[in-house]
Amino acid sequence: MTDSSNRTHLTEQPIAIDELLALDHYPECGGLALFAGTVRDHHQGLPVESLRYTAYAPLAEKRIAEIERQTRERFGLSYCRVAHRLGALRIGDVAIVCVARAAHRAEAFEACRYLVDEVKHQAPIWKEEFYTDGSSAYVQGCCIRPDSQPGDHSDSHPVEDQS
Amino acid sequence: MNLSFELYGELIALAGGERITLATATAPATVAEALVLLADQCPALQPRLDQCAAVRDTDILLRSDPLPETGHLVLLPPVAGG
Repeated sequence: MTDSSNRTHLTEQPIAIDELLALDHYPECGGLALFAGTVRDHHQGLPVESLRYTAYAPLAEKRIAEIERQTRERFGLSYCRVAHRLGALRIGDVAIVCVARAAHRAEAFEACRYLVDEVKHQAPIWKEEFYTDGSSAYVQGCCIRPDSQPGDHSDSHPVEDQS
Repeated sequence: MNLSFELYGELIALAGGERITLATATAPATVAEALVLLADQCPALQPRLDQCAAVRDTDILLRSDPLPETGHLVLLPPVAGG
């Protein structure tokens, strides 16, 4: 299995999706699932003009590497990768790419969704939205404090998919 | 001692900067005690601190953990990548 612990998961450059696919290296895999989250032009009824992603990079890199490792073990994958953009993004830009390669499609699909969800819920990355009226706001997120009390965080796992 | 807090996400706007430094007569014993001092100094952060993870390097600390000897904490508000 691939060790991704020393790889970089965060980038301020456009994500090169082809480089994440590793198409020639896993002949045992018949399923490849790819998720690309792109910047959309609205959020909760407000017209969005652009986004800015920021991160606490040391922990974000560590967490994403852990999520990749956990995903490989949980779904028996040969390969999975996550890449996340930072900085200023425009509408339609790719913000996150997750790739999962497995023997069969079911594991690949499930693993890819798991990757996306775990990164959204665990990696210290923040999304600031800029609206067409000139205002801005940070998207409500998930608390990663381990000793939070039940009931303290009604927004600890938002239902809405922000991707 | 000097306490320093490195801020991320919406905390930066609320505090008016990426870092807050406090000089205290006595060192707080725990992460929780340090955050009480921060809330006193910067009331705008107080409503958000309960949802923030307190981090030393890449380790998320419990509120009951001893304050790092450096007096430095990274504060991470709820995350929203993807």
